[in-house]
Amino acid sequence: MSDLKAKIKALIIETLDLEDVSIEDIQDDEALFVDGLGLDSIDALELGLAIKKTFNIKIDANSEETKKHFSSINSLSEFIETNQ
Amino acid sequence: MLGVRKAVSDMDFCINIKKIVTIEAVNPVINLDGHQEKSFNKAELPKLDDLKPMQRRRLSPFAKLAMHCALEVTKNENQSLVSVFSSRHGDLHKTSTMLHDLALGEDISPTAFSLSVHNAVAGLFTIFTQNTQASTTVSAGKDTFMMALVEAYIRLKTGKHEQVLLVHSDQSLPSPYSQYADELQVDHAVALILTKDSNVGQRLSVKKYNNGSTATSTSDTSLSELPQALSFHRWFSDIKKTQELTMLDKQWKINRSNIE
Repeated sequence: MSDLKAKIKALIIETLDLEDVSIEDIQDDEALFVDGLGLDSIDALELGLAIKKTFNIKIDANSEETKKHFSSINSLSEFIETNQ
Repeated sequence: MLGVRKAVSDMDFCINIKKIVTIEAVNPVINLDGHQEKSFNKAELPKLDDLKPMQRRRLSPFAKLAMHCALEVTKNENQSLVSVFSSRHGDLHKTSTMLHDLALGEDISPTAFSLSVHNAVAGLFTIFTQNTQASTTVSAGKDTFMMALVEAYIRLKTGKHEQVLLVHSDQSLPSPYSQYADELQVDHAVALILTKDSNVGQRLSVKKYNNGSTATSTSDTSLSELPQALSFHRWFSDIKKTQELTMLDKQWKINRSNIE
């Protein structure tokens, strides 16, 4: 697991208070929202804010692209790497 | 009675308490400003094992206290109850954090914001328990608990419901506000099931005198510094204490009689 991916997973767990979930429980290609991890729209906003603060990147809340970036750990880490 | 003016009550009603559940912080701590308060640390808060982890995770300490009592008191009820929630300050720790972030020009937490309304706990409780009955949330300064009791009585009196759930919660003030404290600062929640049935539980007789009652009541003054809900609970749970309870400069007079 890359350092960035582990960092994102830890950020998700801490920001969203996911008790009972550990870094190992989150798969890189698993859906973060609805199915997979079961996060919802409020989580998306909270996570967006945390990523913005932690990695100092701008996120456009209304774009279709953003939705894709937030679909899994893989897509999120790719998004962060290219925008940092 | 010649020459004696008898105070006429401005409000007068009876209501029965079927069940009561409370939680209260007991260890005194000194907060950052040197004020004494009784508050729960994170590990002492109710675990709420009956809820799913995904439901639990967004609950603030304030919500956990209220939710714990609400779930406990309704445990053996086989139908959803109409509810009255009350809090003098609401989730002021959360509000205070958001105001702090706003003042610094920072983004506020969407999760905190989404649950920052006064009836957030009522909303969460009714979603978790799939309760579609009506719900009211009350705030009335130092008089909040008694006004919630009045609201509960109105529900029973005017509606078709036999029982109503009353849930009150408050916490020690967050530090930016502690200088304004006008009562003992204690994290607490109290939940009651109130009923129309005069043959159940304990019967309360409640009178309100807007200008203060003329009764030279010998009510326990050690209770008067407590938040109203706790003062009520101390009096109510002490079975030896048969004398009436007066609150808010004797504006309220409460008596009770045991049924069982």
